[in-house]
Amino acid sequence: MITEKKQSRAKALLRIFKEAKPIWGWLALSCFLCLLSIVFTVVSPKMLGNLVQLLYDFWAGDLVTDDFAGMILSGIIPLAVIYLLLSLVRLCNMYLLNNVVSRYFTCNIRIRISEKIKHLPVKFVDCTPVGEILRRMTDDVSHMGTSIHTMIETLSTGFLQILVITVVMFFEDWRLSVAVLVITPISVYLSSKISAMSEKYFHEMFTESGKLNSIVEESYTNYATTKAYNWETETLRRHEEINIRQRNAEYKATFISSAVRPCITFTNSLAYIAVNLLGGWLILNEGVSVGTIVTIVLFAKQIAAPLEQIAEGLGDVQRAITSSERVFALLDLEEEKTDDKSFGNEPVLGDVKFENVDFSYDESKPLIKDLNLDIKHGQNVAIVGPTGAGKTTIVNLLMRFYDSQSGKITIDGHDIAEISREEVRGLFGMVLQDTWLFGGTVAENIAYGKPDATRAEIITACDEAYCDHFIRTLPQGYDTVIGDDTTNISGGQKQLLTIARALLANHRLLILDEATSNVDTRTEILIQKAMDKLMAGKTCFVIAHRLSTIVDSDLILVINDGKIVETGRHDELLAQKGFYYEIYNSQYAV
Amino acid sequence: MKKIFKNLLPYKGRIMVALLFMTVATVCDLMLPTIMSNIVDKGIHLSDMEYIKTNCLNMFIVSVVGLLTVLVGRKYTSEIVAGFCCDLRKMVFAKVNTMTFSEINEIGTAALITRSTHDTETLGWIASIFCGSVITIPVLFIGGVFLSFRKDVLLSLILLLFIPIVFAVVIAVGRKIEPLWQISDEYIDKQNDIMRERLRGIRVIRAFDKEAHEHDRIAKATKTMAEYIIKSNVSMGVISPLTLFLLNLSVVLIVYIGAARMENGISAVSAGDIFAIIQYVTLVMTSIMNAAFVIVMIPHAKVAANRIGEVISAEGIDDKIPEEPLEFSGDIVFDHATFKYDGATEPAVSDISFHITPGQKVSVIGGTGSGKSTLVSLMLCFRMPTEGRVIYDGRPTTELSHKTVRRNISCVLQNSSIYSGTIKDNILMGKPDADNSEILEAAEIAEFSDFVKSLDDGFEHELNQSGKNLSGGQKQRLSIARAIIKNAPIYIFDDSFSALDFLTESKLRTKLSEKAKGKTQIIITQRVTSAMNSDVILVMDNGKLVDSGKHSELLERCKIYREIYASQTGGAK
Repeated sequence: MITEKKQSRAKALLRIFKEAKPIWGWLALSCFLCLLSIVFTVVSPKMLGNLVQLLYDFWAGDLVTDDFAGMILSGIIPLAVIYLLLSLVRLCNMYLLNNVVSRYFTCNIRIRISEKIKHLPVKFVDCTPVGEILRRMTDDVSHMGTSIHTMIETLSTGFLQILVITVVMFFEDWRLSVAVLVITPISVYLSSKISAMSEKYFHEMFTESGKLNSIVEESYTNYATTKAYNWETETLRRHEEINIRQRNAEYKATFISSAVRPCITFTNSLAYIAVNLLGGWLILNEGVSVGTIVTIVLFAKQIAAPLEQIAEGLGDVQRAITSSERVFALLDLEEEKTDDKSFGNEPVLGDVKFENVDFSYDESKPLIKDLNLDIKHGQNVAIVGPTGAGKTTIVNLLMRFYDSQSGKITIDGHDIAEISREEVRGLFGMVLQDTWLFGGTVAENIAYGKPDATRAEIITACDEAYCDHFIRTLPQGYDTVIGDDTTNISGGQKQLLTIARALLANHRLLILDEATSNVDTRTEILIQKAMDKLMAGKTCFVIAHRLSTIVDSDLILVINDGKIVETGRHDELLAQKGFYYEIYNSQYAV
Repeated sequence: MKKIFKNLLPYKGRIMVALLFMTVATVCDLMLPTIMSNIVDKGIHLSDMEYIKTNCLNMFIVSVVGLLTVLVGRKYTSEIVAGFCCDLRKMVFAKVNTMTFSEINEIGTAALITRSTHDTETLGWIASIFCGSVITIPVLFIGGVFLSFRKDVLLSLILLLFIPIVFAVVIAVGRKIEPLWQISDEYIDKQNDIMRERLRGIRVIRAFDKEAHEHDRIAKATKTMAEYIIKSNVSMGVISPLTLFLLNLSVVLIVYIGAARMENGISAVSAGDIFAIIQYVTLVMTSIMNAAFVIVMIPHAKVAANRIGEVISAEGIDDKIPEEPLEFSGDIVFDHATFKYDGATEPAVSDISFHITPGQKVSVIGGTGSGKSTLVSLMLCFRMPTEGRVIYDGRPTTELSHKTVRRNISCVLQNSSIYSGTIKDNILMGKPDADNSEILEAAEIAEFSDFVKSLDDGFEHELNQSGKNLSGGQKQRLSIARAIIKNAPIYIFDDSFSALDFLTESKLRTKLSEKAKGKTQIIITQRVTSAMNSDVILVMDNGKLVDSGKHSELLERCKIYREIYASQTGGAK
């Protein structure tokens, strides 16, 4: 599970900024382009104003000229050029930001998340829903990318514009400027307050929508059972209940957030009114020039746009902060520490020993207590016991997917906790109940553990695992693309492929965890030979429900409640008339 | 499309009110610039304090009216959009819940989920954009054009000339973006698929030391994805500067042509008029730019609407027979029943005939794909036989309400279905009015009570979606408890003990037989040991009923049964 640390907004922003280090140069360039576009946006109204002034003067008869059209033209051409430049600069900046942010920022963070997964313990993946990780990797990172756009394009230009306007205004007349500037913080405060209010409902809306989506997913996947229990009305009722809660949250969230803009427009109108009233009074009583007042009034009008921009930008940034917290929480997770000892150059024989091993997934519920095992190389060990007794846990410990809390496990006398995980895992071949194939061709999947295998070797392995025949019936034979959710091959066939994969990789030790559970029992007889061949001369750990498959094992470990309750060969255990005897007979007692 | 927009009908009144208020608000927006420039032109320039005061008051009133009307308008539009989305979600969900199994199969569960979640969200989002900005566009547009025409016709024509150009640009860009969006969506899915695959296969990947390889695959997919995201974002980003330039160009043209006309004295256009027209142009163009963004969204909306339309136009279940308060005896007859899936060449089961008498314990055994589960579908009326009949107490299923049939069956299906909620909620599905002692009894029979007792909150323990926090065996036992508490005349277990070890299974079934005394039990299984003590064993192979009888009889005469038995017991007797 990933838990986010609640940080201050400033800290989170700083971290985003730090993470963007590789693109600082580009961002600076982008800021420069923004500055240019601000200059153009400030200059162009001035030029347009001058032109309109010319029109006024000409119309009023104050301006007498022969070539009025020429005069206008000489004013209009630079204006058109500025307009063109403005659009070009914006275009460039958009192009630059998109390229830089997507290619070097969001893409990098995504790759770092993937890199991070490499170093996280299996426990993390076991405990975290896949959707959680995917959401962080896609949506949350996107929000962070958007926030960079927003901060540069909207916030920085917004603040810069306000700054420029403020400075210019102060030079004109400070008293009027104060009147304008009192309004500014009020409207920023107001808009951020309203945003914060809507944030709460947005959050509620997303939570409810998540719940609703789970209900939908659940009802559709459980469709048959829902029908069988005449449960449709109840499902509809549950859906409706959350649906209405989502509606109410959505209504409030959108309504409140839509109030931001009108409120800013309104406060700006108030500022405008104040400036005009004050301006009129100043002209009459203080003799301030009309020109000064007009300029300030125009600026007061202009200040509205950047304020609205900022108000909208703040919402984006708020979302980005929440997202970045989630992403950083993932990136900051503690990694598995690497152990770099090695088995040395001697070939590993495969003597496995468990010494006083204690283990539990959840500290409060001990699972394996003081487990001792001594297995000689080449032995074929079967592990039997009821569901939940800890059979698969032994596999987890052997492969170092999890590490024991105390005691040690040795292979050929080396404590595996000190040897690099890669090397330990490299010793084992594995066939699991839960088959896993990746999206690729059949041949690629089989050669997963031995990428340099020739086609002939692949075919031999498949032939031995009794899957050559069915592979040949596939549309493209060995080059048919399959995946985890492939429907054109059955669960049993998938398992045969994983057996072929293990055969080809040919490791010193072997783990078979319900390796034939999905295979049709009649096919199982056929592949038994392949299994015998796979197991020959190796130290094998076999977990199976069907006791018929393990009667020939060299050693049977009977596990109950995390402890080994009985050990021995099949006949000896039956003779003991203990727990094994009970299990064995129960299969005929049904 | 039509059916979707029918959902707006109940909001007719509120839509009218919202439109009215938004119109007033927009008119106020249109009035403000005029008042503002009047204050400067006639008040400040002429130092007329009285004029300033009256017009400031006017402006205040217009601002207040604008603010209030826009807030009321927004309140209504938010309510309409939220309501519309809510109704849409309900409509789609309710529809899917009445779909037949073949309709569901045809569209696919994953696609149905997308339609009910993602697609309804897309439509809602578009509806909110519509109500947010689009409904003010006509008012702004008509108002702006009207006001500018009052000032000068020719100059206003320039404005009208630019509108189609802007639209043409937007549509051209929109056409280009659409496929790009699709491709970048595909690549996002691709990256997610690889990541999902990797997380699911973490053990195998680490066992083969392939993390680096998997990471490379993801990095590659991520990079490709970035390229396509850039492409689509850049094309989308072109729209804004481009339309801005067109807008500014029209302003320049208006000034120039206006000046020329003034010089030649062709029309009585004043400088103030030109200035006003420029302001209107800005207003109109902004509204057009907003409209342009909406136009780009339309293909998106269409795709979502079409996909949802496919769901709502499904015919649904034809279960018109009224439910009856019947209690079945447990007598089941299959009379030459055949079932063929639509489009399949071979029937899934063909010509199945057998008779189960009340209280019998029946097992159905066979390999994967032998048609065992199809029998269950027929018994539960999930599917109707294409030929032949399934008969309960002399009445064929075609004459019974599906609800009546299902009420009389306690079943546990393959892939045990767990619902989010507490353990208790899940068990209560079988008998909503059961008391705590009944729940405990059911859990005990299902060998589930030890696990529940080990939990701090016992039966009140919250389960995740689809019971992801339970193991396969726990899920099966919970589903079994649900069937037991229902205790209907017929029990059906479809491969329901596969994740249990033999000891647990044997204990469970002994207790179950006690509880279900006199009830018909049908057990679908691959395990011969689960079947061998039944009153009758039906052996299925390739969609046909090969043989039926007791264990000892079958062992003697049925080759397939013998093979299955030998493979699972190692030949021991």
